Amino acid sequence: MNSIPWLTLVLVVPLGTVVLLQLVPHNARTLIKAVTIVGTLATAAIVAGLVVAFTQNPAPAQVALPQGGTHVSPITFQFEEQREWISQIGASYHLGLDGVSAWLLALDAGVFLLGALVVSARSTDRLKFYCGLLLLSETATAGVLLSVDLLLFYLFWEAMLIPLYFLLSNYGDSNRGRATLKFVIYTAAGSLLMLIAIIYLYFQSPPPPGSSHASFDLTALMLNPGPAQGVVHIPVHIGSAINADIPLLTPIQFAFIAFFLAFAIKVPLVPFHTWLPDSYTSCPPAALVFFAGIVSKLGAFGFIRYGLTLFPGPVHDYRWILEALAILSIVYGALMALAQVDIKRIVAYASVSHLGFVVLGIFALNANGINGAVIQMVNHGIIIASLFLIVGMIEQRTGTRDRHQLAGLEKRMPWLYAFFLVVTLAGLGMPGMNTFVGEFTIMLGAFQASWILAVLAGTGVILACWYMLRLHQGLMHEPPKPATEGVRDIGTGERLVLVPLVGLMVLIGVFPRPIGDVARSNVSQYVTVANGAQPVAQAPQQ
Amino acid sequence: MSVGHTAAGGMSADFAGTLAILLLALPLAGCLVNALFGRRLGRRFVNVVGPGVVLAAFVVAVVVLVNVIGASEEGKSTTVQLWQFIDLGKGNLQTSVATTFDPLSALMIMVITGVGFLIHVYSVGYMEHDESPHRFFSYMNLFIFSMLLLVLAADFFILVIGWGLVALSSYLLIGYWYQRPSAVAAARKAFITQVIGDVALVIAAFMILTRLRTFSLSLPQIFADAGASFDHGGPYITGICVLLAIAAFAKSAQFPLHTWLPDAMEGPTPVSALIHAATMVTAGVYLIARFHTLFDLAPFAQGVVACVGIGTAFMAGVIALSQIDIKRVIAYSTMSQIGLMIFAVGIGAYSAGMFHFATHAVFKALLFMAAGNVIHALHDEQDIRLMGGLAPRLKITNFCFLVGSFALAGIPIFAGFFSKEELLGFGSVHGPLPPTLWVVGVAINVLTGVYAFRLYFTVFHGEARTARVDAAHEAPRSMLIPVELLTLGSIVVGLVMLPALPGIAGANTIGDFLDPVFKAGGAQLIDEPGRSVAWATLLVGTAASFIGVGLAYRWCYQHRPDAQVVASRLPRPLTQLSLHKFYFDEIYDAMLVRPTRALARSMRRVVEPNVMDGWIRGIAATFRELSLDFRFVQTGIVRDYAALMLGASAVFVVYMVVVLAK
Repeated sequence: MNSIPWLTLVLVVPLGTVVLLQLVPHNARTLIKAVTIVGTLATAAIVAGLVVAFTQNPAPAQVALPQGGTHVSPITFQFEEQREWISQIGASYHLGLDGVSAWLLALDAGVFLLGALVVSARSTDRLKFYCGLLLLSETATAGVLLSVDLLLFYLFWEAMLIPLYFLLSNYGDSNRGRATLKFVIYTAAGSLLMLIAIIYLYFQSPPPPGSSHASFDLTALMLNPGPAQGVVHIPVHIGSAINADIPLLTPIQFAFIAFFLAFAIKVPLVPFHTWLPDSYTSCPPAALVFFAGIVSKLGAFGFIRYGLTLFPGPVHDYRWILEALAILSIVYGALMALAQVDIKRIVAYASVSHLGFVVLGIFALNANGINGAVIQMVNHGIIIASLFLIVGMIEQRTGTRDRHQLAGLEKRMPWLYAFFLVVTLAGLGMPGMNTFVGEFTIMLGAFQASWILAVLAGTGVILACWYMLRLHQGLMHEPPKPATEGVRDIGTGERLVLVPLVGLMVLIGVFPRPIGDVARSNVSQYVTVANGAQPVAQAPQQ
Repeated sequence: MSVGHTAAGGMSADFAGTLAILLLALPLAGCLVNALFGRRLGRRFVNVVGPGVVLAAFVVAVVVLVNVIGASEEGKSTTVQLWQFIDLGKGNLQTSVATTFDPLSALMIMVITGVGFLIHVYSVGYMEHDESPHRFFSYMNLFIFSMLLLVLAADFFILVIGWGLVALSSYLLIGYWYQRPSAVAAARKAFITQVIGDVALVIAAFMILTRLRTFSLSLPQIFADAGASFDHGGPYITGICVLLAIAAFAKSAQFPLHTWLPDAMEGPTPVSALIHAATMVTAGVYLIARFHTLFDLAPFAQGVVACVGIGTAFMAGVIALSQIDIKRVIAYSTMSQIGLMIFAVGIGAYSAGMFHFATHAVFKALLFMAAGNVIHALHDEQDIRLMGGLAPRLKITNFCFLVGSFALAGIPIFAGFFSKEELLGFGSVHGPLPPTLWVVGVAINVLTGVYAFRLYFTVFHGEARTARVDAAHEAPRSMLIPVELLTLGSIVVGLVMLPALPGIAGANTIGDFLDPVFKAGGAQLIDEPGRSVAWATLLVGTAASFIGVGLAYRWCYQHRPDAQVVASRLPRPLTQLSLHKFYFDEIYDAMLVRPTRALARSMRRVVEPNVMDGWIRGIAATFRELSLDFRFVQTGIVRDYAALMLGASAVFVVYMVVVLAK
């Protein structure tokens, strides 16, 4: 088991499939799709095996540092792989899986498999290019989840942008130019600041004994005593009259803000969200399955993996701001969803609101909140993918996304109605469905942090009920309108795609235990690291 | 399989676990089978499966009841854990799917499955011409499942799931005729109101969980630890109980969360009988009774509950006087009767409240289904102004409706008499400002008599006011048999309490059965009123009921059989309030719905483009402006560059002189 580099395989299989695709002729559309499905399926199989084999309460393991020596990581990773990469500067190819990333990796593999299944082999232009981009995105996103080295992480984080850029700019609708530009500028701006912060963290961390340079390894950076606590001042000296130092922030606070911006844009948190409605609306539904399904969760994952571990001090300093932004996202996203006319935009803003819950859970900084965030990230991926698929099916059949032109589809499409009903209920947090488990746990964590947070999040739950029912009932009930006359119900293939999704929504709703079982021990480590002044760990040994 | 704690003389854990799984699995299986295969297998199949699973569940419920009655005093309550739901480690969320059988849940499941089965049978006839019976029975079975889950739950988390699923099935069934815009709107309104209650319930769960010494959501654990974890009468426990009460008010259609219930009459009539009269709307009463240990610690919250209950009962009684839709009249009467139950559990008369729940379930289901027969006979006519003179044409329905009305009004020997008078008797000596609320209760008795018989006389007596009435004929047998059985029930169910009448035997049958639940953990029951007080309240209350019926007889039968006759005799402001349902819909629309919509719209039109997108465009524009500002320096003329260089050098020199000269 240990001899096989499973995590590397997760990265390599989609890449290898891209290579394989090059051997397939352009016009063999069915074959292209089949190869893509096989590639994503193989990845999903490996990931499923990893989740099953994941040890639930692992003993802390000794980790070798790239520049020599070992130490005990505050976060216990499993299936670790470490190879030399750029050893001159202390960057290594270090992969690992923890209880949080395990479920996100499962979601990742799932949404890309789904993305491969729903791509229309008949109507998509340049199918091979599309499938290649899909597989590249899978490698990049999986890399973000698996890397434990900051430089490696940054590489994958940036690499993710490239296939998504081409997907949006090539396959988006008429508004794609503006949408792509906005998406790229937003996310690139965020990542660039993060790179500066990574370099800063690298230079401020003291090199371990016997080594001339520091390390980019997360496990090593976490153990550092922390940078100088001094506050950065802007000196203003004009003659002898004006002679002042304007105090700003500590360097670590600056670094945290840089990381925060990168992740907050990706999630997105209000007010960093305005790229999202344009991009989601422009993006084809088949690509939204993985675009909306996994990418936004990576921002939230970044908050847990890097925000909590590298910046416990600033996280506590800014805790109220972070929680306030989460609440703002919940309520603002919900109100925006309530006011939209375009059904795809309704779903896009619903996504903003739901991810506010995830971020709220993370910055509750306790085990309930973060476990709930993990559960809810998985749930959100499943639900948002299903919602965009359903909205796509409706748009494809009626030719419109204007909710004023849509009504009475239940009579025409009883199957779609049944699926949409389950997805709607999951989306609005119906007890017995998956979101309820996640939101209950998150709100419990928020309540433990401060009761007012739980009450405010509660208003988001009520608004969610309102906008989801408004969407669902508006499309499904009342007498049909001209655009919805004579539409056909979804076929067997579409049903087969939706069955596992709604099945998971119900299954997680009644049997959520496995998620908590896998996540909880690592989550408690994250909580310890985030709340302790310094993680308790042994000093690096020679 | 099952882990549980049972005392000697009770059910074994395995046996109880099996019964619980059967009870829950039967209706759930019915729901799934009907939903997935019902359309293919056809109407006859659905008509057998739908009621069949509920009948099977009823048989299981009888087994449970027999076992609970047969159990020894300390073995009355059996809790079993079926499976661990989620486990986030010690000190964090840990919940299990667990169920409890005790007298309280046994009474509830008997009513749910018993009355539920009769209503399912009735539905076979009522929905005969509907095009998707599989959908209807699927939703109905889902409702039975949800309700059973709610009352069997021994874990707060599972209770919330049952609580929510009940609201879901109610939503689905109110909006069953989904092509009617009014039904769709009513379903949404009901659901959103329920979600407000859900949020209150969830926050109450958080408050309990985080303060309880054992950090547990298990109900037996909560009740065992409550006394040691919360200060008696303290603000914290009061807050918890007020939140629980808000949840109960949402579910039981009590002020201020009551406006959804009348609109819910958009659903098919069997739905109104099952969900919006007999079972779901009484879940709030059950919730307060189940959490009596906490409410006993919070007298202030109890006072709030009692006042809201009696206030809603009075208000709904007044509104019922002027409504002209046959189902809405009964809906307001339901709201009023549940108000009385809420009042009872608010003053601590838990057994009395639960007994009124049981009798009310029988006679209110009867009234709704009899009303359904009328609506059926008149081809979906619900306006009572267009009825009248139906008695000779619908003889059986007429008789059944009359019995139901007697039971509702509280006329002696009918079921409602025993339960309502007992409840009001407690009200005369307990609760806030003891006799005051009882006086209101007596007034409600008068109101009940008036609106119940105003409805009866207007529908069944006087002149036939439309031609349809002449063509009316009695409903099919499948619709009559359940109604007849419930008619029988409305007469006999109350008789179990005959010995409890003051001065007969002194044995309180229902009280003896239920009280072990409310005495658990050494809790004190409230005293029964003394003998003379009991007789006095009984006589006054009954006299009030007769007066109400007599007034209705005089106004609506003798004088002028007209739907508006009662309203026209009330003082004018009261008439206006009654006609407009106390203006609650208008107030909520103006204060909540419209402002939220306006806020959302202004967010979309103003905040999103100008503020949210604005700040980022502001940054972009700043860079653009900066570059534009400096573009003028690139003129391409050498002389300009030279001048610029000279100027810059001059500034630099001056700066050096000033700064370095120090």
